[in-house]
Amino acid sequence: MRRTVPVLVERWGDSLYRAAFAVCRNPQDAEDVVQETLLAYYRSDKEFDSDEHIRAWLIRVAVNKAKNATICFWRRNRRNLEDYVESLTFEVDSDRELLDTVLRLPERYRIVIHLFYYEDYSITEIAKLLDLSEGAVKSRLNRARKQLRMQLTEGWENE
Amino acid sequence: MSNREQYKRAFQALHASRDFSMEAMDMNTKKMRFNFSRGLAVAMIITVLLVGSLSAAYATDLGGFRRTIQIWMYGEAKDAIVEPYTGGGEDVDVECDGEATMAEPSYVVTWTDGNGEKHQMQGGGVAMEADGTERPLTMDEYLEHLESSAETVVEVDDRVMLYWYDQSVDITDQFEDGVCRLSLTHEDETLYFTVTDAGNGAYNVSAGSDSYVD
Repeated sequence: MRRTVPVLVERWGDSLYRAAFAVCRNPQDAEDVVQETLLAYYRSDKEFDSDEHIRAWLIRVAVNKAKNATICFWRRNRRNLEDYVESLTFEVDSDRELLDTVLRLPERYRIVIHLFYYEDYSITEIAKLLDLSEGAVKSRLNRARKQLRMQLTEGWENE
Repeated sequence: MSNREQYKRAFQALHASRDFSMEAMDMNTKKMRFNFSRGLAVAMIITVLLVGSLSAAYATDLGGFRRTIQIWMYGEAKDAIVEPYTGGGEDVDVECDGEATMAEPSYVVTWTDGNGEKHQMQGGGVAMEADGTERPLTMDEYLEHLESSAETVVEVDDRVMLYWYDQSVDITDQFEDGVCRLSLTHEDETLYFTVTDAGNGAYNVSAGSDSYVD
């Protein structure tokens, strides 16, 4: 099965942007990543089994492209991360601290924690998406949670 | 409110400002082409920089292309230097990374054992792009692989040893039909290892966090 690009944008555009931003921490790069991910889908002849299959493919492509974006040397001249986070409007003030703290985690933790908490993927599914062992995913998730618990003044519940 | 709900609410403050509709994609075709060609150009520039820098820097220092990391080798934490493979280097014992899929390694990891003897491990690999093309792993990707590969199985004096972080276990007599299963715990992490004898002194290792992986 295939979906049209407008349908992808409507269903997963923001999710892709948020996943890309969680990895590359740069709004312009994240937008480039979404655009290139959609273009990769558009140019691909790949048939999918389900909507979930499409979503997983898009996220995997977006995460890989976002990781690649972090090694491009012109990024250092891009807009400052703190300025960008400061410009965002949050429903609750403590959310700014949470977003800021997550973005300061090492990249390998950010990817895993975002896929787990935002995309609702299980450890097994994240392992498949990122080509990691389940042990590595679990370990990174635990370490990321530990850092969030230590750094967030509003707290991060044990689970 | 749960952690998950709080996390989602925080990230929902993020919105892409660009229009990704099909019409916008058509209108931005030129821009997209520019993006792709810009990507290709950068890849070529990076390659040139690597080659150019290495040939000049090998006798001095590799600067930004050389990283010092900590790896676990045979149950001991070692400081190691990771640098791009140049085909040359010093006369040392070479141990090939069994997971490397490239004909030629991309990176060389060098460390010194407790006896002051220098060792090297060559590694690398390829990543699959969305369009099906392959590219060499970046150094960051290779370092991530090293970090998530803390387990090693090798034959030492006719004994088969499994190393994981600071633990070393003699598993020689634990094989049944060529397969050994055992679980180990490091800090708050427990892994269930399945070690398969692949013959000729090679062993395949898989690890599961909840159960054995067969």
